[in-house]
Amino acid sequence: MKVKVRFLQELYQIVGKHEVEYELDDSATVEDLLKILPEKVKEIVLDERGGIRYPAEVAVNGRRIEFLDGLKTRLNDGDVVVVSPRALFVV
Amino acid sequence: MEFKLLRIDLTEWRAKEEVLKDGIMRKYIGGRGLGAYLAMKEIPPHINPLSSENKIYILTGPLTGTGAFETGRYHVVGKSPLTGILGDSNSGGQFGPWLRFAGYDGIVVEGASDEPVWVSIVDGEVRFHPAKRLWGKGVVYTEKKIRAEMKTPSEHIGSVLAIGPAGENLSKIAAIMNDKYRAAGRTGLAAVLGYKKLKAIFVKGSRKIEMADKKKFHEESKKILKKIMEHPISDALGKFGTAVLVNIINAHGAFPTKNWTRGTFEKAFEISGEYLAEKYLVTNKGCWGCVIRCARVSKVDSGPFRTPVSEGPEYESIWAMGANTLIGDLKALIKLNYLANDLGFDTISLGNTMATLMELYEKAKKGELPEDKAKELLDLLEDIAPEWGDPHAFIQAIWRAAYRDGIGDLIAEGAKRLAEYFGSPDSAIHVRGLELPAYDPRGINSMALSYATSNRGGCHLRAYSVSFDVLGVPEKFDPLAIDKRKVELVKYQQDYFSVIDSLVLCKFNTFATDHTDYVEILKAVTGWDDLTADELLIAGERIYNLERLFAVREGHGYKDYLPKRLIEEPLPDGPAKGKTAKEALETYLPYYYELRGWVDGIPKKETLHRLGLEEFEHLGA
Ligand code: SF4
Repeated sequence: MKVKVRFLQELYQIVGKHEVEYELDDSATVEDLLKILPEKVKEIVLDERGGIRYPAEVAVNGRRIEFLDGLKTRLNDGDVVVVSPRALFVV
Repeated sequence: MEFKLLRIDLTEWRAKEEVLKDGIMRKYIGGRGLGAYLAMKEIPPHINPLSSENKIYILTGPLTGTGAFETGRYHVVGKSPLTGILGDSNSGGQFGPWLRFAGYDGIVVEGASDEPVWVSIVDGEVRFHPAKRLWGKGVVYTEKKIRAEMKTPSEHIGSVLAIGPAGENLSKIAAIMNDKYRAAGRTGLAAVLGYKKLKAIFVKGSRKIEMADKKKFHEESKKILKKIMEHPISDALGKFGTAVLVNIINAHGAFPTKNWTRGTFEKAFEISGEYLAEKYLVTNKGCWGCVIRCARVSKVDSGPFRTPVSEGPEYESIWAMGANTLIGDLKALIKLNYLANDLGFDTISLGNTMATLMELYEKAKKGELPEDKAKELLDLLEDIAPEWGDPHAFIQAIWRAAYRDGIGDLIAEGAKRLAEYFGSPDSAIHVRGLELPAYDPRGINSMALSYATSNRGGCHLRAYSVSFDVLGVPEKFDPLAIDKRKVELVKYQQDYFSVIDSLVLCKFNTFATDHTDYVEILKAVTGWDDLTADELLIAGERIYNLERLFAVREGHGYKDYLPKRLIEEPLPDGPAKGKTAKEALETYLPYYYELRGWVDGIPKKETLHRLGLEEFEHLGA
């Protein structure tokens, strides 16, 4: 399946693109997606234990993952995932 | 604490000084609170806001210009020509501090002049200057000429407040501008200055602001500053400006698009703070003494939207004039923002009014307006043809509105009057006549209550409940879940923000602080040694109730409601698809009244008593 990832703020500056499409296995979760993001993005978004590093946030189709199943949230074809370096207004 | 007011009588071109009593200051603090109190005492009920009986209060607060943190702002209060109730607005830049340095903590503009005039205040000395040559001119030119006349070319010294042609021509959506690009935009108070024929005020001086305990002030100031600088939002605001919100609010489907008919805009990224920083940003800038420095300095080098180096655009302006009208070209928005500033418009109201106009134009063509009205509108719009997303039509319309030419005469009246005139009142998205800002309450449901109960009309700055519904300050909530604790937080923010606007601080402090953070520093400045945090918050509540009483006294503007579109039409897209604001408002409002001690929008007599508002008890329920 394919999902779109939108990078905000400094992550946009690192990646150089606002939106990038990623190809994933059909059963992939948010955790699987985050693992394949560019290293510099991962440094900002993930902590040592693989959790979300404060104050970064991730949302799937406009819903913060903490209101879904967290890192275990299952992704579906066509989903839009927003990754933001700050806990800033991402639902 | 001594608070020195300057009363400027424009009828006689005379000024006199007045020192306010410490007791009044402690009850109403300064800025917005003091303005509400003075307006209630001095502006007679039921007057026409565009008459010499109306007054404009330009006020600082006890912390303004003290050099601490985000203390560079000022507040304006008066009876609003747009809403017919108490209006007020806040602006940054450097006018507030320089007003205090010039010798006064506030100005009351009274009476009306027969001919255009501008006023200079330099080290306590007040002079009146004929302004015939400045009348009809833009804000940028006006500031340049006044600075030349005052021999103060450096923009770091002194400050100019001015109105543009919009205010002169009594547009109800005109903004009071200062330092060229900063706006006390909301509620159309520039039209009152236009009626009074006051074009501008120049301030400069070297008065030192006295403090009860300087050492303590510096210690407290450092503590607050540290909190603000450590907060992740402060850093984001500095880097990307307020437009950092574009992608975020759009991501969560609460970015009002096409006159509030959708919650997401497909070109959001192209008008975002990230894109602005990459393409058109020259540098960032701060209001006087600010460390966050969220203001943008931008320019467009070439093409039809070429714009000189100037400040902006802010999130609200980008949204109102962009997504809401489907204009997705940031170059065009920088140009529109420049024109709106120079002609002196409130960009939120202007953008909404243009979106209303585009909707009316579409309806007229489809035969969805009363026949005679459709014909009149199509005749008036023949040479503008404001299709959705057309920046050139918008540019033409701004000029017309500023000089009330043709359709401009109706655009200048704001969205509500425009939509009503053409027989489609629900095409204007407003509360109490004030056009709404850039958060759709169908996607952030606490905003339903914040907007409905906002005393000055549709506004995000009485309670910025986006902060807890989305950001998690002070607690994290799901913005789509109905939760009555949100009501408690909306009320708290309304009271706390009343304090912030009365101390006259920037609201970007409030992500990192709460009301308890300001007790010690206020003591250090004022010498109110027995001040408590509770007393401060109650002052905020007092101010909120007093503002509501102004509407009660006018006999309108105290009913709490939302526009029909937000209550009846579900969002068709995004994460909040299918949602309206109806359930949230109906659930939250009764509990809100219970917490406030109000009945159907009117404070109870016992509430007024509890808040020390006995002198207005006759207005209570
Ligand atoms: S944070 Fe922005 S608006 Fe607030 S005082 Fe600083 S520059 Fe002005």
